[in-house]
Amino acid sequence: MKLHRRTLIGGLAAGALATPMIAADTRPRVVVIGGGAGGATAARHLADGGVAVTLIEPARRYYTCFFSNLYLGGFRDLDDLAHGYGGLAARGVNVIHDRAADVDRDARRVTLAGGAELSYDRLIVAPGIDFVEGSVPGWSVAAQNAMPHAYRAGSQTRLLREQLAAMREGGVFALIAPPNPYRCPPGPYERVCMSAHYLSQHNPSAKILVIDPKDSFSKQGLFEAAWRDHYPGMIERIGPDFGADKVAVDPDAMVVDIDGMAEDVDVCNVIPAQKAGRIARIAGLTDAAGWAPVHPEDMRSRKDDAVHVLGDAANQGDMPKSAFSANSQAKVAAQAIRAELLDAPRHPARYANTCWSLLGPEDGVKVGAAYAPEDGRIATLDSFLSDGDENAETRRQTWRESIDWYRAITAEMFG
Amino acid sequence: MSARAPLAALLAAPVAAAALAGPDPEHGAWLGAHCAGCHAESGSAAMPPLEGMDPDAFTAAIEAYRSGERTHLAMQMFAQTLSASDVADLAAWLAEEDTR
Ligand SMILES: Cc1cc2nc3c(=O)[nH]c(=O)nc-3n(C[C@H](O)[C@H](O)[C@H](O)COP(=O)(O)OP(=O)(O)OC[C@H]3O[C@@H](n4cnc5c(N)ncnc54)[C@H](O)[C@@H]3O)c2cc1C
Repeated sequence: MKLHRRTLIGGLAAGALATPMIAADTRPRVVVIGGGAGGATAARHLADGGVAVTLIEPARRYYTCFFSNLYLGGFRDLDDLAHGYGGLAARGVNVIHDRAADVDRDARRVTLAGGAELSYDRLIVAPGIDFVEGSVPGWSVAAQNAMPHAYRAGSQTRLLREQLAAMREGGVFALIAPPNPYRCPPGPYERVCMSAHYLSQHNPSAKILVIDPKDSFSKQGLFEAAWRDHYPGMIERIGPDFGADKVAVDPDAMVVDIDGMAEDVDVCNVIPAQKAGRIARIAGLTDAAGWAPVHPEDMRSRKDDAVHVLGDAANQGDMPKSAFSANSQAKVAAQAIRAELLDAPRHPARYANTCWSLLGPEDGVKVGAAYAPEDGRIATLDSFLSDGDENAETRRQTWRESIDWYRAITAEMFG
Repeated sequence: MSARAPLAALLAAPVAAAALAGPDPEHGAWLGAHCAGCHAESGSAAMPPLEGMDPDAFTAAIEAYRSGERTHLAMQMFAQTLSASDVADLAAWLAEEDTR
């Protein structure tokens, strides 16, 4: 089936078949760029009827970043994080495994790297993140094998895990945290917990150095308590007060330079500063900071009424860049698109997020909020955060919830 | 929307406009789609699936979270963000789902 579709697209690119093929289907066309938390959810909800949905995603298997820290900790296999697109195809989504290379917004047309062209009535752009070049001097994507980012899941996550496993006894693992805003605010710190859990079992004299350009970070009290209680003496965090905002690396020498102080390290995870996935910029949807501004009512691009931007790539207001947020935003955008294209009912936007983090075995915490449009942005209505003095049973419940959530969101995206 | 309002409600006077309209299961379905982010078919005892839940049990649970009689960080917060008519719409949607 998939092969057949690819052949058809090839035919479209060749030109001759284009007119009859497109004329055959009179449904409004929605093209979705990116099959992650935002794009896959949107495609699924739009495919439920009336709209012809095409999803463009280069990867045949999507590795969730969410739960990828658990793989580092030894609580999940990498294969547990992989999901295919067969479920979406079975729901009627035309899945094309290619990369969107260009968007002509005037002509409402997407060009794929393979050369095919796709016209749309509405475009959804959900490409996730890209890294800001030069944000950690000395590091570039070319150095990602020496110093992995592991901030897009898959081979990078495996590499980091292998490097941690191969680290010499008593070695130093440095994690360079990113400046705001970035994907998954608790992500780097959960990674510290999960790496520490792994090392405490396999290399207990190892040290973890967290180099953080930010004064404070998500769930800080909870994480710092866990570092102290679960992994005593293993983790040290250096903040901007000690020069962590002036960090550079030498990937060949495996040296981290913190404001002029050189540190030899054995493993180095560089999580660079971030911006919207490249295609958002190519399409002319981004602002000076590199993110795509949207209207809070429906995630519609501020640059183009026919385009919605979802997930990490969007500059929307208070919502953290998380899979939960992207999933929530996708439902709002899908509703707005159906309302416009199909005259379907439209209800006021609501958004929600919860981010769970695993501190140690069965020790889960969470932060979350409800959101609504206000003054041109998505604003927090109310929020919650796990208590520092919760008992073990509550923590275990929270961990169990996160497993249920993972199952729910991946089923919604891919099931 | 008014087509769904029970005849008794239409005849009763005076009634508020919202009551006249009656609960809106379509709006309930919209709200329910957000709940399904956690409360999916695949749910467990910790996060039971919303679809198939008894509407009265649902309403009682939301009330208990709102009053603090039941405690859960996320559910107490989400329950607070639902208006009385939101809860009625959700219950009306669950009731419709039940009869399917
Ligand atoms: C370590 C870590 C832990 C995390 N933990 C959690 C968690 O516990 N809970 C949570 O909610 N979130 C978590 N996140 C965040 C979450 O992974 C992201 O916020 C989420 O994936 C964003 O969804 P998205 O759709 O914007 O982007 P993505 O999910 O990254 O999807 C973007 C997709 O677009 C594709 N793409 C890019 N460019 C193109 C193009 N030109 N053409 C076609 N396709 C393209 C990519 O291949 C990719 O598949 C975590 C992230 C990390 C790194």
